[in-house]
Amino acid sequence: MPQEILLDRLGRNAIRFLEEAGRMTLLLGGALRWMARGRLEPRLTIRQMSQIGVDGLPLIVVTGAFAGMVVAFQSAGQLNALGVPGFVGGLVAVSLAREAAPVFTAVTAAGRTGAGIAAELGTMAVTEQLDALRVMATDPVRYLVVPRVLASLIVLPILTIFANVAGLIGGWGVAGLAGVGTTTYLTSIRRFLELHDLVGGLVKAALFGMIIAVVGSHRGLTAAGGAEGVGRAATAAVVVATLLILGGNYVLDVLLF
Amino acid sequence: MPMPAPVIQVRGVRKRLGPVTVLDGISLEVEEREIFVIMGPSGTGKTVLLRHLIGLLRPDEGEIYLWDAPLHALEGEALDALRMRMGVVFQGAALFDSMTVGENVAFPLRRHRGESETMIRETVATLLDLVGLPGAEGKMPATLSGGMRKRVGIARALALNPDLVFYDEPTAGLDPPAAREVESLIWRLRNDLAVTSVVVTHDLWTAFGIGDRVGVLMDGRLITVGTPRDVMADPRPEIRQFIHPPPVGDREVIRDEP
Repeated sequence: MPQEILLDRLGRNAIRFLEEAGRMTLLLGGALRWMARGRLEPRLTIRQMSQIGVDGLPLIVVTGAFAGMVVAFQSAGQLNALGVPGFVGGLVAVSLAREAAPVFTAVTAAGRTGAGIAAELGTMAVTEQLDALRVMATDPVRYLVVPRVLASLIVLPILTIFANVAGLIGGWGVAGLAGVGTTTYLTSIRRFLELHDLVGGLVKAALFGMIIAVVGSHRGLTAAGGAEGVGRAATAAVVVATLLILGGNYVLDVLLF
Repeated sequence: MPMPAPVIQVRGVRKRLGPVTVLDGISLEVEEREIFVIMGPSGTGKTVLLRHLIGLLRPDEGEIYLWDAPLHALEGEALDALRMRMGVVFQGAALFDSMTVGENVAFPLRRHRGESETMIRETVATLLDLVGLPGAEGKMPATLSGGMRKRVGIARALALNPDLVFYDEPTAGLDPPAAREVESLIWRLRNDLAVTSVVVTHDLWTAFGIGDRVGVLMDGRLITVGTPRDVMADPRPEIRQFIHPPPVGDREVIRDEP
């Protein structure tokens, strides 16, 4: 009965998906409860912010610059042919602000930060360090997850601003090569880019940051089975976070813009 | 003088993990200042039992009382309050490998005591001295040998002056001299600091060497509890099969220490 087997498998996967979603929601709820009670671990949060932000910045700047360059390259050719080079800057700026900068930043961070969080917490899980925290009356959610969620939530929008700036500069270079003058480029940005675009993108980035930290933490805290388990946790953290970012991006677009 | 109430009381604890009944009706009592050893072959549920005693697992059935507090039913801050009175030495020491030895030992102090850095540093130095690792504050756990890691783990477990210390396989993976050092340390801590100790081990030498009483765990049941002499003299084949008695004389030497 292949159909029954298929249904069976589908059902099992659906249940597993829902369980996973439930556990992550509970973890997020636990972290938010500590935050609401003001138990924030500022020192650890700042250390995480520096790890996610300062260490991640070069990659984000390069990614952002290339994103801007690609949009400028594609649009400058076509808009020049249509005789409206005055749209190039605006197109680059708006697509960066709304989509390219937050999504590229988040996907890059999911690969870097999400995997890092899962691997670090996963190693602590399989070497009994999480148990050691618990028996020393320290909740791992408060001590490990809250600083990471908070740091990621704050830093992702900041990284996105850098990606925006790098993208605009990259786009300006490419547009210039395609014959769009600097004044035309800048005027166009000013004409088309609205605060709403920027803010929407940054809100998305903050939510993506939360997704990356929660998924990475969840995978790390539940890792089991030695080094292999840690590897699996890190991979799964990247896959799940990337899917949630891309899916969530669509939902947020509908809601925000 | 009336006997003080037992520090630990376990009544009829059962636990299933997946399809396997790991603990099948465990009852035991641990008295104050006692070194109670849970002994048994690997895979018989010793560590699972220990994890119940430190509140990391909850029994499906049965009750666990620590100083008359129902550990099996506590959570959150009430559980944490109980945990502040206990220290746990994990099998692999479970040191935080992103921190130095000093930071590891200072961890519980920094989290739970509002002491000055000077006082914390002094306490850490005293503790490291106690476990025979003076001046090791700046070292990273990764650079230490197994025996040294274990002793740092003991120092960290003792940081908050616990009344009760749990040791999970304290001598596993150590060479004999290092194992004897850890054993004598456990022994001294009981004598000097009056802590109650629960030791989980599959090492007969450790069990009979330091245990005031030994419980033998097999297939999820505590098949006997008694002094090392009683357990060694137990005629039952399943116990005899597990125990190849170490020389009694050596044990006497350790036990006769003042």
